[in-house]
Amino acid sequence: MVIPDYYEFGSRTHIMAGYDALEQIPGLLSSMDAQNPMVITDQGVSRAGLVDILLQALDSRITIKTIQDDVPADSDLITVHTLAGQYRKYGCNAIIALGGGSVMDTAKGVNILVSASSDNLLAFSGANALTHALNPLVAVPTTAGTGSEVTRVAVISDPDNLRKLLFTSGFLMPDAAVLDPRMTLTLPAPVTAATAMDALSHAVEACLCLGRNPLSTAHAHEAIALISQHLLPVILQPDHKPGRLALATGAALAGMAFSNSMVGMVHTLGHSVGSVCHAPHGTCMAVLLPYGMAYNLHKTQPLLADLLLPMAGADVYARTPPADRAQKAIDWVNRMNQRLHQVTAGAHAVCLREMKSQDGKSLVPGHLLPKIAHTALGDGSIFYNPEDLDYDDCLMVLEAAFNGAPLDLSRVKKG
Amino acid sequence: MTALNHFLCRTKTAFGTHALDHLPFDLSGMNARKPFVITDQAARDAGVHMVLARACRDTYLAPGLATLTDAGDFETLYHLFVDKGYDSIIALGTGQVVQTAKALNLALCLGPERLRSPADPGQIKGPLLPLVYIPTHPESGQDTAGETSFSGHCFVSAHLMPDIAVITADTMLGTPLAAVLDSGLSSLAACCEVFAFSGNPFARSYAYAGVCLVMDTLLPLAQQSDHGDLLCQKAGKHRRLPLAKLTHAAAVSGYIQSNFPNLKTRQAGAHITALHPAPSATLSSGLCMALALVHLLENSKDTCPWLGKLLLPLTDAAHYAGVPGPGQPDAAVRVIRELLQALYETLPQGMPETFDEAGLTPRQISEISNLLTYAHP
Repeated sequence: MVIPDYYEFGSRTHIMAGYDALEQIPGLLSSMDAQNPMVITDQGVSRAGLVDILLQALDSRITIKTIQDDVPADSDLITVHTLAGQYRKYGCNAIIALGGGSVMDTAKGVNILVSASSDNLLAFSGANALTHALNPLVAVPTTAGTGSEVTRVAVISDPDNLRKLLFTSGFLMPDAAVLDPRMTLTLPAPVTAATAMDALSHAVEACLCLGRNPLSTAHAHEAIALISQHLLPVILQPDHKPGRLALATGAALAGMAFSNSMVGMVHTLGHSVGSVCHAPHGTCMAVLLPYGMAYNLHKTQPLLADLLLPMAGADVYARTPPADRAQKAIDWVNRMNQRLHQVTAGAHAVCLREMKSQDGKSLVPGHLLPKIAHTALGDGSIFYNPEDLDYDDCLMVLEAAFNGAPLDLSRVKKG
Repeated sequence: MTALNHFLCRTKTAFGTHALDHLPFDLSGMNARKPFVITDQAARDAGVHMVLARACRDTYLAPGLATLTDAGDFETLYHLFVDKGYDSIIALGTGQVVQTAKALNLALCLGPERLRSPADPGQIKGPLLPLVYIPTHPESGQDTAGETSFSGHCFVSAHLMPDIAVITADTMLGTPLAAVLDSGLSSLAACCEVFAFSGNPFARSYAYAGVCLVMDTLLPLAQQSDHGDLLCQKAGKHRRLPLAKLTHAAAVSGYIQSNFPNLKTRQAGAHITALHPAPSATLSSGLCMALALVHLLENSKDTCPWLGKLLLPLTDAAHYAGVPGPGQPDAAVRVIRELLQALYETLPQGMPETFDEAGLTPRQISEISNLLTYAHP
C-alpha cells in the first residue's frame, strides 16, 4: 500500500441504507432534537410520486411543516433565498432534501442562511467560510450518481452576475444520507445509466488523481465493484430493489471517495462541456471516462491495473497478464458504454457527437470544442490530474471523444 | 448487502508528515481559537508538546497546556478550562489522556453533575466542543470510538468521537513491543471481523484500509525491535512512520468499533483476558482477539459469504485473484496464522498461537467457542 506524505479523510454523514431506510428518518431527526422539518424537492420528484412515498414512510411520527417543490434544474440564489424565507415562516428546525444534485445544493444553501440567521449567501461562498455546525439536514437522493448526499460542496448559480458560486465546508455535509431503493425504482434507463456512470467516474478518478489515499481508494474500489456488478442487471430489470440499493450505495461510496481525493481531467472536461453546451453531466462523464483513463495511462498504470479487479472480477483479473490489466480496465469502461448504448436503444451516447437534446438537436456541436478546451483550463479539478493538461491536449481528447475514436497516445505530452 | 446498513464516522483523519501544520486551519474552521491541550508526563518528558507548540507558533491560536498526572486532576482541569475561557480540547496522548478529554468535554457541555450521576448516559445529543486527538503511540481503538468511562459510568455516543485525529510520525513516542503487538492484533481482529462478516460496504471500506495498514507494518515493526525492547524515538523515522501507520489502523478500528459495539472477537478477548491469570505482556487483549479471530474464521469458513474476500486486504490483488474462490477462505486463515507464527518468532519469550497454548482449559475453550459464532445471511 502506497501512502502519500499527507492526506485527510473525513465523511461525517450518518449513512442509512436499506429497503426501509426512509422509515428511519423520524428516529434520525429525533436524535437531533429536530421534529419540524421542511421538505425541499423539485416538481419532477413530486410528479414521480416520491414525496408521497416519503410521507407514507414517515407516517405521522413527525410533522412536516412545509413541502417546497419548486427547485429548478440549476440551483440558484433566488430559490435559496425564497426557501429560506419559507423555512422561517413555517418555524422549521430541519430540512429533508429529496432529490438530485440541484435539490441537495439548494438545501445546503438554505441551511446556511437559516442556521446563520443571514440573508446574504454570498458572505459564505468559497472555502471554509462556515465555522459553526448547521441545522439538521437529512439528504434523500432520488438518483444514484452525484454523491451530493455525502459531499461538503454546494454549487449555486448567481444568475444576475452569470456565475456559479462554490461553497465548501465540512459543515455542508448532510447530517444523514438516507439511501432507499424506492427512491430510484422509477428512474428511466438512460438516466440510470448516466448517473451510475457519473458515480463510476467519481470512483475511478478518486483512485487515480493526486489526492488519492488509502481510505478514499478503499471506498472507491467498493463503489466500483457495486456499480460494475449491478448497473446492467438494473437496466434490464429496473424494479430490482437489491440492485437499486447497490447502485445508490455505490454512488454514496464514490461521493465519499472523491470528496476526499478530488477528481481530475474527466471532470475538468466534463464540467466544461456541461458549462458551454448545457449537456447532461452524467453522460459527459460516461463518454469522457475512458479517455481520461487512457490519457493518464503512462502515469497511473499500476493504479489502473488495480481497477480491473473490482470492475471485471477475480477471474478476468487473474487471466489477464499484469502488463495488460490497465488497458483492459479502459476497455472494460468502453464496453460498458457500448452495452449501455445497446440496452437503452441508443439513448446512452458513447461519443460527444451522439449527445442529442429531446428534439434531436446535437448538444455538443463540433465547432464548440475549442471553446470547451479553453474553458477547461479554468476548472479547479485540473490541478489534481496526474498528468499536466494544456489547451492542445484538452482539444485532442475532446476531438477523440467527439468522434468516439481511440486516443492517439503518441500525441500526449508526457510531463 | 444486508437489509439495513448504517455507518457513522464523525472523525476526520489527517495523516502524514507535518500533519500538525494543518491543525490551525482546521481549528479555525471550527471557530476554535483557544484550545486546551491535555497531555501526559511521558509525552511532556519527550517534548512532544513542543512539536505541537511549533505548529501553533505564528498563528492566531493561543493554546494552554495541562499535564495529566492522576485521576484527581479532573476537577482541576475542569476549573482551569472554565476560568481561562478555553473553547476546544486537544488530547495529546493516548488512553487515559483521551478518556479524560472526552469526559471533560461531556462535563463542559452537559454540566459536571451529569458525569457524577448520569441519568441516561446513552442519550448524549451533540454537538460537544471541538475535540482533536493527537496520539503518541498505537492503542486499541478506544481512543477514536464514541465512548468513554468516568466514575464507573460508561458514556456512549457518536458525539464522543474526536472531530479530528491527527496522526503523524512527529508525535510518536517510544512504545514497548508488547504494546505494539497488542494494538496491531486488536486492530487486525476488529477490521478482519467486520470485513469478513459484515455486508455493510461503508464499514467494509474502512475495514479494508485498516487490515492493509496492519499487514504493512506490524511484522516489520516487530522484526525491527531489539528483542522486545522499546521502539523508542531515538530509533528515528524508519520506526516512527510505521508506528504512525499502526496508530492509523487503531484509529480506523475505533471508528469501526463505534459502529459495531458487539464484535465477537472483542467480547471473546475480554472473556479470555478475564479468565487467564497470565500477565498482560504475554497474553494481551489484542492477542486474545487475534486468537479469537482465527477461531471465528475457522468456524465460519463454509458459511460466511464474504470470508474468502478477506484474502484481498490480507495480501494483494494478484495473490487474491490467483487463488480459486473455494480456496480463498482457507488461504485467508492461513495468512493470519502465518502472521502470528512470524510474530511468535520475533519474541524472545514467545507467545501462544492457540487457545491450548494460552493455557485455557477445554471447558473454557468450549465457552469461548460458543461466543464465536455468527448467524450468517
